[in-house]
Amino acid sequence: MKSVLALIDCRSFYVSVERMWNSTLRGKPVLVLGNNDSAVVALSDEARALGIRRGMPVFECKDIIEQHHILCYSSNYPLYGDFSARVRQTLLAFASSPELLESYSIDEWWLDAGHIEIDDLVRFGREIRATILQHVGLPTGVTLATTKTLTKIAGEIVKKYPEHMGVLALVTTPKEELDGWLARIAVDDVWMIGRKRAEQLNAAGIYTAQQLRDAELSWIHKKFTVVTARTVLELRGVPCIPLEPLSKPKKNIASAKTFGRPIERLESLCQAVSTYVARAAEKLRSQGSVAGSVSIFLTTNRFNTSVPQYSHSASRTLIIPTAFTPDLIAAALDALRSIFRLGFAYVKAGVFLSRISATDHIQPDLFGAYIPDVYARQERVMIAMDSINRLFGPDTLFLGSMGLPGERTWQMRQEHLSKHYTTRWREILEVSAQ
Amino acid sequence: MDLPSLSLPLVGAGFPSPAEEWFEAQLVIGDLLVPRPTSTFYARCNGSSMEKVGIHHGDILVIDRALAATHNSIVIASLGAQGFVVKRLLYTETGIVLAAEHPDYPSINVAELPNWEIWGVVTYAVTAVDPGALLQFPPQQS
Repeated sequence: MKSVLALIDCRSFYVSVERMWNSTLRGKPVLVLGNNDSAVVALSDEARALGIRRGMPVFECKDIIEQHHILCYSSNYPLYGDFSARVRQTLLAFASSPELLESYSIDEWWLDAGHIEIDDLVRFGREIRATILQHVGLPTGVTLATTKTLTKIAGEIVKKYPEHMGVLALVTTPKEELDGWLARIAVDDVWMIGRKRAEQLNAAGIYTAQQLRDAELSWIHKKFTVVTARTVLELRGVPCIPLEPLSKPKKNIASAKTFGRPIERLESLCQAVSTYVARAAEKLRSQGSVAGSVSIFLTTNRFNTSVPQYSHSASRTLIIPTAFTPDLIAAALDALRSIFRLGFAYVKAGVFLSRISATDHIQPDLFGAYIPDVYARQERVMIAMDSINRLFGPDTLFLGSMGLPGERTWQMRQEHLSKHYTTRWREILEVSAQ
Repeated sequence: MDLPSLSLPLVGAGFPSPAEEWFEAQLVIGDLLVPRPTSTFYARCNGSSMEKVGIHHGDILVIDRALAATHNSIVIASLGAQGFVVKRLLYTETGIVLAAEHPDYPSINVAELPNWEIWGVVTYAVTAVDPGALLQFPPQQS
């Protein structure tokens, strides 16, 4: 039996989530900004039509924004993450088992549709699309094919040709019709073909997905890499890139952010690093893990060559792996003090937890540093802190070294943030009964 | 909803608890109110126009988008620039009406609206009976 995969791709995901909570944004250009509101991280089709592109610095499109009264949002990752989880949960009902659903990115999933009759694939795709739209409120493209690369090709087609109403199966498509579609897709738009590889292919006379599919395999293999050869095979309908199983617990947890403004003082850096450690430690506990090592880095603005440059990193090993925030912060601050130098304007710092293992796999050490009673008490304190912060909102309980929430001037600028409608009780939707 | 629940009772070195054999999971209210967390959203009610169906000012509403709205459903409707309202959905001879459940408040004939849509169906209203109850979060000042 032929294997069939479905690709589910949320349309303009961040913008669609914002539109759920403000229907006046429909049909209008909308931008979602990141990195201190300084760059475009997501945009609606209407904004793209005005010439704005993803990754553009805000100052470059300031005129267009003002001229067209474009609404801008700061990226609300807790909200987007929740919607991503909801789509995934909804899709689980369509998979024959949880291992047959792969989360590829925050807004893309692959689902094995091998259990669906070939004649039924389009109806199956429509049902997925309609269910996500009703239950979660987000528009999607659902495309079905025998390989991941072909589902991506179909995804490009439904984006460009609205008559498919977001659903397309390229499984029993006649060769002439498939050729027609592939001829209209540029090699740059083929999945796994980066800009540089596209240029090399162009130089060799290959401009479309169709030409790439029909290129001689041994020549591709010799001239490029096995990755590109796989893409050729996938375009021919030969599956080479399997569905990846469920995501495993993360082996590393990172938290790194650009500051709201450059900072020079050690005291402010300590607050920022403590806050990043606290976030990372919370993630660590939520997956039931402990970390054996803490690393930190800090850097000045390497794009601004007129200021003195410095960047460095340092690590500390913990004798006993832990998820206890105060211990992790102490190790991180010790590392920070060892690399901090006066006289530089730092713009970014990050924390990296590694040597991660499951909480119930702690090995008592030779030096007697592991005291089960102390460990259990620390665990209870963290459970209490996490529960309170979940119920009343982040930073209800926090460590003193993080600084007071209202006084963290280094914190990232997010001046156009929508509410955390689905993760904070204080910020749930208000409905009028007047 | 993920409320902490008690797991198997911890027993010391003595006799094993006879209840262990008969263990059943403790009740958690979320299971009852939110059978489908994936399609469930929450909102706070501002106003008294739905008093007659037991929805009070300050209540937390449970909204399940998986349910189809029908005649008589209590719904959350999005009215574009006018924000969100909670009303009773009525299919009448003169068209669709979003009806208030209080004589002092007007009903809305949707034919007069430029754009509107049903956002979700309200399944429960959670009222805090004890004014000191945890539910009484002050709405955030923006």
